[in-house]
Amino acid sequence: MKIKTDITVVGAGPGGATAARLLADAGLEVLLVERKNEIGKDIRCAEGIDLPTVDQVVGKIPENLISWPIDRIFIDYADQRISLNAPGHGVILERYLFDKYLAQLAAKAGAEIMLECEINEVNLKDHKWFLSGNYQHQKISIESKAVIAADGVDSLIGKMAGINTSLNPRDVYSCAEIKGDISGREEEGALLISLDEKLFTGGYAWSFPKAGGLANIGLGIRGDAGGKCAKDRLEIWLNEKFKGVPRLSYLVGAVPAKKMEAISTEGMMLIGDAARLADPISGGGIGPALTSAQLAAEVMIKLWHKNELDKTYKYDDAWWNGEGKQLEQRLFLRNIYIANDKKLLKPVFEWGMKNLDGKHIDEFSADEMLLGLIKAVPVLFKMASSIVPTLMKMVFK
Amino acid sequence: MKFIQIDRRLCQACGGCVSVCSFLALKIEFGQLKLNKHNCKQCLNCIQVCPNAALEGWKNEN
Repeated sequence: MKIKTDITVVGAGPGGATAARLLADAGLEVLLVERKNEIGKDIRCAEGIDLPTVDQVVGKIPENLISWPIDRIFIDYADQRISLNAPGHGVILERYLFDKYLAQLAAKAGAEIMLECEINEVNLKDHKWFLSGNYQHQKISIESKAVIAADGVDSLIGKMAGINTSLNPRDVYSCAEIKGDISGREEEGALLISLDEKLFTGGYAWSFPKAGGLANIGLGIRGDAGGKCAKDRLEIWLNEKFKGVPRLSYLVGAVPAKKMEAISTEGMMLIGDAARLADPISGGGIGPALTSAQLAAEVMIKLWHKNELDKTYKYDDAWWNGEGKQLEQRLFLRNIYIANDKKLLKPVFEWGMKNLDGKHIDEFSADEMLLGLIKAVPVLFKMASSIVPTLMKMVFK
Repeated sequence: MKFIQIDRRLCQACGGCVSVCSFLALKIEFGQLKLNKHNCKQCLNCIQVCPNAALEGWKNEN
């Protein structure tokens, strides 16, 4: 089977579906291919996102896609807990429905969706991309002038096209998560972040609230943590904090935390997890997937009309000078944290306990918090002297 | 020679290992993790990141 189209989008997650919608909206012929037989199936995600990002990229979404609006945050360390009020910021989605909704919007805009379509070879010939693979277990070849690779953390499209997207184990969070019924517990309805230098090496554990007393409860550790795997560590933590919680699902996954040298090549752009765009501290990937999809589509449309599809590096530039800047800054902080977590975690938490506990999250800005922390935590102050230039950029960006 | 062994009872095909493989030796195909032994350079990155400890290196008898 041979197909010809303007643009192929590989992967129908939030990023892929959004890019497909925007490209189709601009009048381009778009094919959105998905290897699974159902969009939104087997989601490997804690499902949290800040609503303004969704509003900005997708617009107002139907109520039923939001499982739970976050209004309380707990941060745990050792036996202590910081409580924060945080209404109006984040929500926990129903990805099972959210992904389908975004794909539906793409289809409405004119994109064609092909399920059970798995790409395993890519070739560039005469400025055209030829993708081949299987479609419902038959061989397929797709010819298009441009490709958006949104094929997730195990992305091969970029790698096969010669973009180095390989990560070091230290640049990956290895994650495990259950869906559990926590109704009646103190954590019901609250977003919990739990910190521990040893058990969650370089990462953290979470409980993200969902409707009906459910929660996504999981953890992510540095890929090079060594010792016990994410699953075994999750069992230890569950036994401590959520003993006896009925389990409805168990899943594992990986979150990238690395800036790649390139996220495009001639006629091809990588977005979301495929481009390693996730928040290096929170691990949140839906937001960067949506915003990188929006930018990739925007740049792609411009290049398309100017017949300059060889200049896809303009997407890299636009990303790292725009939305990507924040990810880069957070990556910088992440690397400081993972190199010093044994020294930092306790004093930083104690500062938080004194200054943040019981407050409303809108009472302080990120910059104020950072400066307050540097002043209050001696280790940070010492380190700050060596990282002043970067910090200045962050505070006065 | 060390080869990567996939424990099918534990592997969920999450793709974490694929992200740390520089040699295109691992991929998810039809929902299953596949190893291409010819490409594998036994760097063992994949073993490190597996959340389920579903991968291990083993010594070939030969």
